[in-house]
Amino acid sequence: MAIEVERPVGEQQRDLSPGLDLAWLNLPDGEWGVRAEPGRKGLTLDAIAAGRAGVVPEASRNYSMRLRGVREGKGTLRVSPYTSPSQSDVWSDNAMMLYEEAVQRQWSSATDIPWISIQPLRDDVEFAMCQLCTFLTEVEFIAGDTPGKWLPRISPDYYEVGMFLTTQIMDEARHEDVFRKRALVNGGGLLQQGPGYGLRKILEAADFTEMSALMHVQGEGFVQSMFRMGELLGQNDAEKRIFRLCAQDESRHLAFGVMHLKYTIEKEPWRREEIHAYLDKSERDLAEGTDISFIPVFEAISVLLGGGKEHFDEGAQKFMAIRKKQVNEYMHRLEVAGLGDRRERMVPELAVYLDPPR
Amino acid sequence: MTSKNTEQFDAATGPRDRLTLTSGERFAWMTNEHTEWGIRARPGERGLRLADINIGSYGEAPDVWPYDTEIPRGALPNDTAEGMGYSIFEKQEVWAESCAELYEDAIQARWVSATDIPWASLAPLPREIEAAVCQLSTDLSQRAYAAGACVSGWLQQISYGYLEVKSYLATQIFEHSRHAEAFRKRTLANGGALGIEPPNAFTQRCMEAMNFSEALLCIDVLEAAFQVTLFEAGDELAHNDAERELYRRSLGDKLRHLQYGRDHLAWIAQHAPQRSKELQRYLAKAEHALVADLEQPISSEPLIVLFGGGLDSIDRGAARLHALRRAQVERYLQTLREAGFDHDAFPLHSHLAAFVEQPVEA
Ligand SMILES: [Fe+2]
Ligand SMILES: [Fe+2]
Repeated sequence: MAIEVERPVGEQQRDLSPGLDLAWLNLPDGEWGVRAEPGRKGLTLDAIAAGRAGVVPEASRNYSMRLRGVREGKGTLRVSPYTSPSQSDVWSDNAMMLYEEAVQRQWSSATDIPWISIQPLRDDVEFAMCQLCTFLTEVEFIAGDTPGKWLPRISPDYYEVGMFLTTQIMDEARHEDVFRKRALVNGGGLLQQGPGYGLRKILEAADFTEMSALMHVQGEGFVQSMFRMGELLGQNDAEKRIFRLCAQDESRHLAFGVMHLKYTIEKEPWRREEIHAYLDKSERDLAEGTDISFIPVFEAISVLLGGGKEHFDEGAQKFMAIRKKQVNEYMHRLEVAGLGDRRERMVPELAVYLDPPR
Repeated sequence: MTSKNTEQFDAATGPRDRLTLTSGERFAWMTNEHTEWGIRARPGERGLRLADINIGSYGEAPDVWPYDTEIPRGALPNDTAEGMGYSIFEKQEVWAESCAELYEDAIQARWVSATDIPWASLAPLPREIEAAVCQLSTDLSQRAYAAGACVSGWLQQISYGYLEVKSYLATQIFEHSRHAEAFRKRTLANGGALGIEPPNAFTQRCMEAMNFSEALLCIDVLEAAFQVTLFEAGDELAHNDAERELYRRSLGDKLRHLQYGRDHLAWIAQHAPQRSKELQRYLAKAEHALVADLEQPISSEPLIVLFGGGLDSIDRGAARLHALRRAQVERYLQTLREAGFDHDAFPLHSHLAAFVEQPVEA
């Protein structure tokens, strides 16, 4: 018994003779000899999802933090209070790939942003950038807290999803940090807090698919469409690079959400109406002038796009072009996920921006 | 303040009522009243780090944070905002002086298990050695995953007065994932197979924690001290460059986890000394759970086989494991001492005490 071996030397000498337990040495012959091979991108999660370790169960009753394929111990304690017992509750076919991509594409807000390129701006433009950054740090806070809340609730049979969520936690910490840095680096500072209603909705979600649809597809989708306009919003290389790098990260978060929604709707088509109901509710909130129509943010973005207070109206027009882009890209992502019928159900305040179907 | 173009925009989009109702005067928010207008953070030699932006009032993490919303520290509060459900509002519950630096250090030290580990250096090993590596790796992988899940569950409880802590924890959660997948990859990359899960006494203890310090003493003090010492023995355990590199990289991460745990404990020792007996309880329970896991054959036997070099050298392996255990306990006690939290004030678990009280056999 190893318990004896573990004891201090004196006792150990006495007890060693019964030998070792060695139950762990009996690896099943059928599994022995299988080697995961590194591919073009190295030894990835995809590469090790083979054989027994790759068989993803449709339902999970694994309560012990045992990663898929690990053998059950005798008398192992239950520790995992997960609440998503089926694959379709959480799965996304791209989670493994997105995990590896996220690990490869990490960046540093301290050293990868050319902070030196930021020179004093006109006061109104500095105010505007700082107001936008204040708002974005709030968005990033919640986008990091939410996956944190869900990770312990996901069965480790679907550990790739859990690991993807940890990359999102890391990405969002960096986003929060980079926008805070920008607000504090050029004489402006943090300005007006937003109402946070749309953000709270994401934290409130009681179901993983609801949370993912609201956060990944809708919320981060809107943010992503804005980040992609970073060339227009940014006043210097540092700001443009911030938006570009954040957009690169957000595209992973979005991709997870879209593919998860697609997976759920394909596997459990009866959930379609339920998911529409989540979107009905959140679109209504979105349209009712909460975070995305928060006046200081709307005005700040318009000042940035227009190039100053005196060009506010021009900027506001450009802002509307972004809003149009946000809504159309949102609709496109829903189509990819198999929710094309959302077009007929979208709240009128958003539907007004929709282009005719392609 | 309206203009022709604004009316055009309003007519086109509909939210005019909302805009005119809530905006008051246009650009009302463009005021430096109650802000620190004019204050500028400057990048240093290592770029613009989190510590560099802790300037003026922005840098002050207060002892008690008054907001239950997602307000960034230093922004102007919006009194229509709703609470976000945080439960941690006291600095002593989470703080460590090093967290801003550890956050940036972690980002600079990032690595990629897929491409930074020389997997091609793996070569077939004797069956008992491969099985031992697989069992040890399975154990380390699962412990890392569980630690990540545990810490991440606390993230949403911590209010934004302590954003440096939350930022640092993000890096730690991310690293737990990397250890979980990297050791899993090792298990599956050389012809062996996934082993048996650990008994979970220690993970259960982590998950049972009812306050953040309690969880942290488990993961970032006791377990981290043991794992740091284990990874330091990586060159002895490893049979190829891939394993050596895996232990070396993991050690780098784990040293930060241990530093955060130690510095958090030090902060409590200095700023909330009334908690010392409470924390002693947590440590005693953590030690008890750890011993329950260590006593299991699946925890010790693979190390004996790896240290001994096979089943033929069990005595040598057992003696080396004993020395490792001793070093692990000493590392743990040293960490507590460095934090100003001496273990002499309360009894060390007898099984752990036995390792440090008896001399190592030559
Ligand atoms: Fe983000
Ligand atoms: Fe995101």
